[in-house]
Amino acid sequence: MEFARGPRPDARILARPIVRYACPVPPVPDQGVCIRQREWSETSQTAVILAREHGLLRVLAKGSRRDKAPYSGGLEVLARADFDFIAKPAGQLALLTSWDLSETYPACRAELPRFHASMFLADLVGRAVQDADPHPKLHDALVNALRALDAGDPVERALLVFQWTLLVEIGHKPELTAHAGTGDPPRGARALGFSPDLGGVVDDPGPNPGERTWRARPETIATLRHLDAGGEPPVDADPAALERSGRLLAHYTRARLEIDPPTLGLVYPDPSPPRSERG
Amino acid sequence: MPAGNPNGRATDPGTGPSAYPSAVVRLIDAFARLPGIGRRSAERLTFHLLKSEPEAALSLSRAVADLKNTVRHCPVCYNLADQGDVCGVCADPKRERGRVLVVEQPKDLIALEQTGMYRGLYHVLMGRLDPLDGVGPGELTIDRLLARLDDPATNAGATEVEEIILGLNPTLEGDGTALYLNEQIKSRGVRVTRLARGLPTGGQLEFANKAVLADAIQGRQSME
Repeated sequence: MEFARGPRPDARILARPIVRYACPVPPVPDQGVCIRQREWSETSQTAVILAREHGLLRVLAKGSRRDKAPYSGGLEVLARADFDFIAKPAGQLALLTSWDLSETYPACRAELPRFHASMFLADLVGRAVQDADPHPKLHDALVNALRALDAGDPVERALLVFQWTLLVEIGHKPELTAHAGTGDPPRGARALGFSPDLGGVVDDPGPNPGERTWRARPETIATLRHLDAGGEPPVDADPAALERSGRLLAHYTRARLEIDPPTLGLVYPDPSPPRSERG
Repeated sequence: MPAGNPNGRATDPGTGPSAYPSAVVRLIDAFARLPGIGRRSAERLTFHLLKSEPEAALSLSRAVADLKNTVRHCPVCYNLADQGDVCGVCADPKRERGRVLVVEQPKDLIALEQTGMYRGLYHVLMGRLDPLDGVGPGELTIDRLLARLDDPATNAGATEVEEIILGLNPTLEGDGTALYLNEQIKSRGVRVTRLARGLPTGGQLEFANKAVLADAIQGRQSME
């Protein structure tokens, strides 16, 4: 048999080192908090991660349930980690290639109210934030809220501050100074109205407010205005006042985004929106 | 059911008429729906059964039918049991019936039984609280567990329960379930303990992950 003869390869080409491309698409580093996770197979998981620089990511972690996988500390809800991922075309799960646990929040596993509060935070993020829409401030607010819960700060305060940041970040910050419909100063001496449809305060609807207009105490609105001005409630603030403000924001978020988080009733057991508040 | 054609052959979606008889395709499809079994493995299993003795294949068929027809949950602890009976653990008079270990699934019970270290009873919750998925106490067997505490007649051997051991998975949801159960049980004056967590025997510190090490530090024990 006779081999075809061709030109001899250039000696310079032969001298080049062989470059192996093990991974044609390099993994992207980020940090984030796991919001949801599910078992995908005996060894793999799917997860939703709030990434600081890349927003909400839906990922597949192949082999993450194996002991020797590069997923230090396990991939579970509300674990914070540095991680690498490979993005995929729209509609496909990104591939999580590493997960290096950096922070956990043990108090959220040790006290039932803090467990419920942390679940509510994860639930809200998962329902209110769009995929791949980066919100570094929201990521930081979530981490701060989890740290506050872990440090023993009042649950009501941590929830209120986080919910405010969430609404600001996703573009649904309520109007608190002027009437949300007319722009005039809202009228009401003993209470103010709050309309989720109009997106903020309105005139006091009186003792029998409608289904879509709630009645809020002046202190509740004042607490929210304080947040709007960049302040945070003091740690020793009245928990009942913080709870009312947080409940108002939670119901506003639910009505505004038309979502129904199952964890809402765990942190705000009073199922009614604040229309029952007395001035 | 696979689509058929006039020749009695199954039709494989996307590739047209299948070369296999419809019974073969049906079995391949059934195997391929099982967890961890892909199409190729399903074909291998099917051809293994085709080549095996008829009795072996029929025995498998009967075992599958019996599984669905006769296996039920134990009315006391929700472990797997034969129809109409309590499970082997609840029926065993040598068990310490004042001690109940709570687990999420029957397979957790099997894992603990295989250690041979525990001689008490169990209670299977059939899941765990998962607020993000809307799984609350009503979806689990928590009411039956509390009934065993409140009314000794509903416990195996009509024995009063003195200790509940929480053996839930150490996930956030498992820990949340443990917190909820602890709150429900401690008001009844029953001792509540939970399985230890931290470093495994035979492991090495340098290879343990951060969460395990954090657990081990938090759950450290006195040497006295």
